[in-house]
Amino acid sequence: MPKTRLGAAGATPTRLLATVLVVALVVLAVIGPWIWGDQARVPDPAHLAQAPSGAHLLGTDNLGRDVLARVLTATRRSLVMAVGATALAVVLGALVGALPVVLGRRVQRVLASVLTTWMAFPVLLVALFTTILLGPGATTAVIAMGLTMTPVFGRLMQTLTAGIESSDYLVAARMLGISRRRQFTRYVLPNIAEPVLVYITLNIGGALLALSSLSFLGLGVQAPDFDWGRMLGDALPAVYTSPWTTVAPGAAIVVAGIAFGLAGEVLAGIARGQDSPVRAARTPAPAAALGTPPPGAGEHTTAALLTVENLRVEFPTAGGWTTPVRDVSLRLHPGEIVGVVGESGSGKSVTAMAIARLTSSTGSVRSRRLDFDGTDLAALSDSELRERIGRRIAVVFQDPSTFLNPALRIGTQLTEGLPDHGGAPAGARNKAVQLLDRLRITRPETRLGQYPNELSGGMRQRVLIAMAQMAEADLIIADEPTTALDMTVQHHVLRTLHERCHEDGSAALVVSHDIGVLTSLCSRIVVMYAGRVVEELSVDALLDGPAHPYTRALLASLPTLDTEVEKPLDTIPGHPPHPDEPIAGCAYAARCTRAEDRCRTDLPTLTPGTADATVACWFPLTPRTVTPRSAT
Amino acid sequence: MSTLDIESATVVFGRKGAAVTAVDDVSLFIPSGTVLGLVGESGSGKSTLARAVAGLQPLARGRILAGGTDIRDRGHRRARAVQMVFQDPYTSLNPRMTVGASIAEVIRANDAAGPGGVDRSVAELLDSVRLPAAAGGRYPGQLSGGMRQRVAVARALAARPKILVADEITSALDASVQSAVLNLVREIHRDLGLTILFITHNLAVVRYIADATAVMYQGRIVEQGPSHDVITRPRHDYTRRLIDSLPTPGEFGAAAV
Repeated sequence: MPKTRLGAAGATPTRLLATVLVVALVVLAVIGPWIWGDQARVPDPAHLAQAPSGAHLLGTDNLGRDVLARVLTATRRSLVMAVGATALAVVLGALVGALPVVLGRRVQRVLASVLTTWMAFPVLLVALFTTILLGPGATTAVIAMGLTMTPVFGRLMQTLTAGIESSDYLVAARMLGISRRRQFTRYVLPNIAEPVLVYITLNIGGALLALSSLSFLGLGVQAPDFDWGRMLGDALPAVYTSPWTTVAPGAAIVVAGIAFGLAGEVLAGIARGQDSPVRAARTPAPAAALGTPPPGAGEHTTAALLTVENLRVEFPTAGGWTTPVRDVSLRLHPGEIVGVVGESGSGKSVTAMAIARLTSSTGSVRSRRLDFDGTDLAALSDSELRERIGRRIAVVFQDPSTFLNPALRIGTQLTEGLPDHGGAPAGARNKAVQLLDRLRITRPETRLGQYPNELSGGMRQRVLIAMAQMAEADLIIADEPTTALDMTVQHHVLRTLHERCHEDGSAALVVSHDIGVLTSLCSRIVVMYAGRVVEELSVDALLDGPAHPYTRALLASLPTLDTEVEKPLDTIPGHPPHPDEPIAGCAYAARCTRAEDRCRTDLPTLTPGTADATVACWFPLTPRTVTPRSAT
Repeated sequence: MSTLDIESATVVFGRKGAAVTAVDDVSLFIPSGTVLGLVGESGSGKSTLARAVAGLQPLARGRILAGGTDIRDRGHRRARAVQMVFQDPYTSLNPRMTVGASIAEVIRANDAAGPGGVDRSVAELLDSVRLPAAAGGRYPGQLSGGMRQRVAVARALAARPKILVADEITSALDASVQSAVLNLVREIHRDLGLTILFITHNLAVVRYIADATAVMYQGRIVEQGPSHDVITRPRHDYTRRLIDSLPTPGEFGAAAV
């Protein structure tokens, strides 16, 4: 799988140019000396220092040798030296920078100080030192260059391996008895290879330039051998009489430098690009029709705070469009807490983010209706959204640390950006203290002066909820707000959310994979599977027994304090379909114990079942009394 | 197969002035072939204790005996009798190796291949965690969280441990996948007779999986006993709070509409 990445490079002009240049250089390096070698070496007293002509396209040098032939022939030596020096630097760098990670703390400390000392040495001093010790020559130049480049590679690999050192997989490998050699070759190197490869490519160009300089100064390649730098140096005394002899090697150095520089950038772009979404422009926009309106659509619903009808979210992928959300309809009333439950990939979070207008710009969000308190959210531009909706919709994320600015104090983040009628700063501050206090955050005054990293995860989550409260948001959208939290903290956060909605009449849409959490908090639950709503029901109806087999399976699989300890836990066999998978009929049919032929061919639509439930199932279950979980 | 005996284990982070005692004089005994559930909140020291048992965290005081030998002994280290399954299956597997290769490597490193050879043993291990043999050819990135956690369990079993430490192994998984992994732990425990230290923050889980339960709070064990007793008759205030924190349907009352 990792192999395809580099091969999948599309043909942008830069990529094309970099590829052509590098390939041309490599080809020249291979064939150059065979074809033009003799011509480049043998002096021709009959044609000394001739200007460019038909016979000698770039003229001849002061010994009558063809300049073009010499430049082409020198490609091999110049490249081999540059690659050699870089290779030496990579190997030494890996030994000093990457290897210590598998050798233990003490070795690591020693080698880290070696690296730091090495880095402190001036580049020129290392080069001169090596030359003095080994005498001028091509090999010396390569070694000198390799030694000066080593600490840079070492430091890069040290930084990269620092991330791997504490990674669970390396810790596990150590514990499982994997030898150090294999830890290094199979666990460390492959996981730092990509950035190092990019850096190598970028540095070959730099090495070429530096080695040319050494040769130019007479410290590198010695006559009669020659590389581009040597040619440049030899031509310099005659620069006024036969300037063409300097132009060609100079140009060669520049072109080669650019080639590797470009290639490095292209590789870096590809390495970066593998995580970023495909540009939407490449694939035509999706045009599938939105589904039929849900039951009760179009009814006069002035009471609803949020009305979503037939929401469809699509994202471009390499092979077309993927549709994580299909035809989702929801309605929220003021003061109501609605839960959206589903497994990973069910589209629950994508739905929540689309409602909050936080879908990434590449995605396509369409709906029949996306109405917030009488305003069509879908029709608003970003600036209109800020102006008219502003903080009326607040979002609480699973990982609060990504949402809080690490460089700003909690107090600043709580009070900044409040609408003007929020009162004087002092008033806002008092309000913030009161809120934190109500959220059972200890020493609220002190907290306002602290930074997010000084707070625990549970506290940060409560700060986010406080932010929603400061803004007096009418709608709180919470995506897995308690998943990362301990039981006791989760309990606090749930209570806070509930109190907030109960007292201020705000509505909340809470997304979770844990149906247990949602039944404790919400009044209504929306169950999503493979991008669609399969059941929507009140918590009371849920306790009487859900009609959809999937909802029932979700409930049954949760261990509770009443679960029979002797029996295996109920599970849901198989796994949810991938959003790209074409599905005829009910997406859950493949895992459903009640599925019949019809389920595999016809898609069931949401239909009203009992009093306060709608269900999309051909063979719904009838309510039965489910033993409620004991409160103990 | 092997008892686990933790005697006055103490773990201190940092030096003198700023030293923090993460695990404070903890003593626990797990009889051979039983499951001890360790519950507590983040920061209570339960994961640090788990790492100490796995030999990843040196003790400031006290000792840990696995099957009667100190885990710091060379002989013990070579036998790799204690293995650990990590919380996050997304980071505990090498992303650049197929899961089959990951497991095979452990088998080779420990000379633990069965009579049918390494490949056969890999297939058997995958089967023991209810994964098809074909899963061995996949990279971790191609597997779901639940499947990865099964692979992580199979990989730990490949070293033929006698004691297994499971550190919050279901908390990064979907609730719907959790039950299958819990069943798996029970099956493995039953089939292999492993001694298991099972760490979680969910009392309902610990009640299901563990014979005995210990509650950790601020680095100390504040309560321990048979799981049933701890949950039905909690003595410590913190245990009671944990039980009260379990979500209950309609707990906060349906919000006004």
